Amino acid sequence: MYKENTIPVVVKTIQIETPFVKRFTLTAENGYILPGFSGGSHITAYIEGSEGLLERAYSLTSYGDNNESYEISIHLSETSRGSSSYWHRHMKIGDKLRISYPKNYFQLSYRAKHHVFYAAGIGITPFLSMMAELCERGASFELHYAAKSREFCAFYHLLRSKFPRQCHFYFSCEKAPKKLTYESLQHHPIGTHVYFCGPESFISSFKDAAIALGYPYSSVHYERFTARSSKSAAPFLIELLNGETIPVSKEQTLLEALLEKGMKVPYSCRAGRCGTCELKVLKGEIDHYDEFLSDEQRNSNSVILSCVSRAKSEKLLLEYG
Amino acid sequence: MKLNELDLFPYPFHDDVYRYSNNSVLMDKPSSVEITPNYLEEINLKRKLLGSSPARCFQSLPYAKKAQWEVLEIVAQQLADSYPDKFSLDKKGKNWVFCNTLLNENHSFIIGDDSTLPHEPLDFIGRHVQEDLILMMQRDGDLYLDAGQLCFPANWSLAFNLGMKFKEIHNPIPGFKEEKLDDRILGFLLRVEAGNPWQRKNWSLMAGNRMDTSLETYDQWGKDRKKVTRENAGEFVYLRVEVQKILRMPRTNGILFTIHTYLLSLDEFCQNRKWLEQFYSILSELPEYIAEYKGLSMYKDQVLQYLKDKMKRGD
Amino acid sequence: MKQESGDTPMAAFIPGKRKYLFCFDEIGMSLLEKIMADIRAKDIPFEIFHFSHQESALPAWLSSQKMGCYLYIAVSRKYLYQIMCLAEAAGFSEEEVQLIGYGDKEIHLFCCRCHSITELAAAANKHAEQLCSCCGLLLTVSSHYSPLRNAYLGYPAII
Ligand code: HEM
Ligand code: FES
Ligand SMILES: [Zn+2]
Repeated sequence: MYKENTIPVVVKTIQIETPFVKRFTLTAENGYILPGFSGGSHITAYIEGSEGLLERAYSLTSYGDNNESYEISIHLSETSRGSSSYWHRHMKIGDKLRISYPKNYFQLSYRAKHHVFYAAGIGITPFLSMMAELCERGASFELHYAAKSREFCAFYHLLRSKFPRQCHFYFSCEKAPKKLTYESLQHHPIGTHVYFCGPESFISSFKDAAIALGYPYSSVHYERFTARSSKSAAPFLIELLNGETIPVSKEQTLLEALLEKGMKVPYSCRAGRCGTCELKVLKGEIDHYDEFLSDEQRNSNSVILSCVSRAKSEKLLLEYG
Repeated sequence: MKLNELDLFPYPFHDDVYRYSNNSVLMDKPSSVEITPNYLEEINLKRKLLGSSPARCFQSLPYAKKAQWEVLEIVAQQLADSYPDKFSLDKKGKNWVFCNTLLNENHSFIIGDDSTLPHEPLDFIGRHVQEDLILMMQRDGDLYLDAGQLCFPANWSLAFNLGMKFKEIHNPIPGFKEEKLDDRILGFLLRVEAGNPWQRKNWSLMAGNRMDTSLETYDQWGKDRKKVTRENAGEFVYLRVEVQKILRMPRTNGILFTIHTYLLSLDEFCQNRKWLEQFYSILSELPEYIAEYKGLSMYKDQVLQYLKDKMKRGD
Repeated sequence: MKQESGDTPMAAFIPGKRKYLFCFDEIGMSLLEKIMADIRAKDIPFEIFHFSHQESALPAWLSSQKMGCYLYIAVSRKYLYQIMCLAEAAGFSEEEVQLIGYGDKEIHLFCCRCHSITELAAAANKHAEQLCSCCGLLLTVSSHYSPLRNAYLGYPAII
């Protein structure tokens, strides 16, 4: 499976941002310089929790030419038994962990004439670096940010001082409550790109509203972080068109089992990323582990990347052989 | 320009049959460029071509400047890290000094300040490496060729391809669109991540050992293909392999695509019996549309005869 | 935004937009008639812009629009590229515009040897071999198109 290269880092500072949000700065363990990153980037943090290795994505909330440290901001989730509670309750200054290189799947549009950010709660985090990059470019943007109150509004003071003209706050639990609605989507001039980040329901309602108004898909951006579960591999069977049945053991990938039988399945990366080893599935349920297929293809349950993915059901019938 | 060491030659095949596919693999040891024994010869040729045909060899769009600086940073840093006896990079804040002892050159500049370099940043660092350097910026969910230095193209034009999207660039390749290979490869490239670079090899045959087979000079060198015979193929025909590296640039989120071109005469290539045999089966099975696109239809039969002779003689 | 070549394409109705914009010249108007009638009948908001009458006001009209609009441009192929660039500059993306060109269009041919552009009068010539107007190389016109150069690549006809 794809195992990415990581950077060893140390927790340098921990600050309380709101009653539920803490900010952590990380520096490279060996005094190394950290890679630069673009607005909207995140890192994957790997920490050794009580229930094994925890893997979570966090937006980088610092920005600029500071290559000595990264900052991430973590919201303590009430139901959390995993990562956020570890960060809030156990992480200390000086603790070591590994992080991925910066990745960006929430990049700013280049062609946009105007950028509008809609954030709810901790959804603010990717927008900090994005707004900083737009400032640097001299581009036009605005932020609409919903939180319970000033006290629970992460980065409230920073935003007000850095981007005073661009920020609009919506506090639902203050004396004169203000609600962030998608009414404002009607007024954005042609060439605007909108970006949504927050709870799933927030993202989908804003996204649907924009599309209903006629926004093209390419002007609507959003980021969801979904944790990938890492289950342990189980053996399964495959059946080929010629009737042959081949077992795939726990230690083996489907691709390996086929190659071992002398079948010439094309492959290249063996990491679930290049798409070369794709095979058609006629029957059976697939457990996808790749980083190549679209959600649509995944849900169709009809193609499998044989170098990493496995069967959920006991047996898969392949259109092969 | 030919490489003596058979050992260094990047053998491009891993099967007896060749088709277009995404043959990229993760790099074991991440790198963007490599220094080979041909360094001085190739750098001199590169610089000569850049001087005599600048528009053919370097192109950039204005908004790619920041990303060009990142290319310089990545390549210079890697040279210093991988070849500390040959290169160094000293960074004092924004004041950087890059030393190349192979060429006996020192360059001081201020990072991000164009006026402190003799050339544009990508053009500058490209003059220190054997690779051609192509910068693909990621803009609005697609990859665009927004800058590049290209001295050793396999019959394409950088000036024409400037500003094109990945799929537009690959439009001339037969079967790419029809089989949605262009969609699939683009999807793959958009998910290439920093710190985890990829590499692939591409191959073709050339009549002659010219490195600079540009489309701009095709009317001159293309003729040589008519001169191939069964008898002269061994020394006249070269296998041309491009080792291509694909790196995500974290700061500007673009892709750096580097192309290192290797040439080996068929005579030398055939010293490796396994290579000879596998290449013979690939070439005799190669579909016409691929042979035609790679420009070897005109002399494929002569090469096949040559390879057959070789195999017989070796028995 | 792709430029159609060859025969005059039909305008296709794209549903689900809050407002439709029509930009046309005399002949172009007739190519949009059916869609405009449909939209009138459905009572969907729309605006029209007569290119031949108010050319200079076009950039301002385009820029004044809001997100959710959909733009049809139906004009002579002579002006199509120019108007497409104006729409792009105003912020319209490929997904928000449909181009309907009519009539002959000049084809631009990019010389692979000297990089200069030769203008070919009519689309009819497209398949014949052409001399580069600058260096005189005989070129075949390929289907390889560069949006930046707005030109097709010419390969050497004889090797
Ligand atoms: C991202 C950077 C890339 C750039 C800038 C690039 C550029 C090019 C260019 C300029 C050509 C020649 C097209 C012509 O005839 O005009 C070409 C050919 C080709 N490219 Fe790419 N390419 C890239 C990545 C890839 C990748 C990742 C693959 C993976 C399979 C690929 C597969 C091919 C193939 C199969 C050909 C045909 C080569 C032959 O038959 O000799 N390219 N590419
Ligand atoms: S071999 Fe690359 S995805 Fe399976
Ligand atoms: Zn010419």
